[in-house]
Amino acid sequence: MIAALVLAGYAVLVAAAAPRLLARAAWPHRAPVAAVTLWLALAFSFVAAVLLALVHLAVPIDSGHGPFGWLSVCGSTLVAHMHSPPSAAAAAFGLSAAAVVLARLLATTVSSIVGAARKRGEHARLLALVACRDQALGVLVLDHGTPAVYCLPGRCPRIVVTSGAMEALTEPQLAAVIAHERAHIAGRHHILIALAEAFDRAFPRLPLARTARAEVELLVEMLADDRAADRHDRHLLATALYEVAAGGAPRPALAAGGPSALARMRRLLRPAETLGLAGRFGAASLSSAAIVLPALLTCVPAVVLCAA
Amino acid sequence: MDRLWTWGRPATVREVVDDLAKTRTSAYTTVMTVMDILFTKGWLTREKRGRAWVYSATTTREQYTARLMRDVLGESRDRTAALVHFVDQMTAEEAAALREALARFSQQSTSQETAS
Repeated sequence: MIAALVLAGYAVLVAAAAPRLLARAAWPHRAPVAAVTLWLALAFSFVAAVLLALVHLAVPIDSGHGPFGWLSVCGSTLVAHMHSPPSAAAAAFGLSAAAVVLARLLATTVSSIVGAARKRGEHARLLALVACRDQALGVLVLDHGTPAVYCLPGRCPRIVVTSGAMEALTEPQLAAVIAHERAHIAGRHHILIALAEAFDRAFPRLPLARTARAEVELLVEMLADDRAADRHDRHLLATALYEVAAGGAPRPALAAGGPSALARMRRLLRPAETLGLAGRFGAASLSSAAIVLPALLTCVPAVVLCAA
Repeated sequence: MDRLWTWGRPATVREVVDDLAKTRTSAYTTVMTVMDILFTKGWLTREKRGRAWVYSATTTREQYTARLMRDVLGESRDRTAALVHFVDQMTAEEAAALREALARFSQQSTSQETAS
């Protein structure tokens, strides 16, 4: 029972407090890779804590089995324990709730990945018939006035540039933007975005889920900006960002949007900042701790018993 | 599709094959099969004129481009990982903020140059 409460408390902490702290910190924009890892680790940590808390309701560990003690309880002993939980209702609730949470998460993950692939395929088929290939740049050109550049990641990656973007951007700017898109494709960023989206759809009103999704999307863009800035001028990329973003008709102000382009531009206009070794180590430690902590917390009863 | 859209008029398989032959050799039967598939998918309609089928596009290239662009530009907040933009379209205020940031930066760099 104690373990379930401790895990539940930890889950609440991760869901409510962690996102606020992380979103306000300055270091994520200096180390986007470490930051994305941490966000995904926090999401995993939350799910693990919730599942373990629910399982503990049904299968309470009241002896020092150690961190993975409840795993050893599986099998025939699971049945025996199930007959003596705090109450039959708690057992039923715990196990069925855990199953529901896990099923929901799996369902949203599969649907996010599969849904994205399907939409991508439909878009690609239409694109194949309508767009022209620019051999020199290695991109598809779509005849449309609004400047836009995007990529279709996945197994058959494609980069699309509208004719509006070709006109609005100089050749060096275009090369920088294409490098940014190539970085998205090479880094398989669409998988990271899909994972964050799946988590958000599985737990809709959770602050961690909403914030993680928005932050991961922004950090992934910064990652690609950094990759492009390896070979192209940062200022060039910043001006290209402006040309593409402001080139078309302005979006209606009511539509929900983020000032993410402004953050990216300010970041590009500053010289590149990285996190020192200490910072990176700290971030990696946080991610590792987040992943392992729920499992460790399941042995809280053992620790309490030892202390007593 | 490219030929039919460019010409803007109905055409027979023979006309398409002859035009394609300028850049690559395609068998008449291949082109005929492809156009038949496009017809089945609803991209083309056809009517018989004499002995030959005459095909025409059901939708213009612009309409399909517009449909694609709706995918790209629309519902950016709700988008899935299907496509990854370079940057979303802005509101007028956001565009002004970007412009200001750029202007301030170039002011700073020119004042640094004059100082040094």
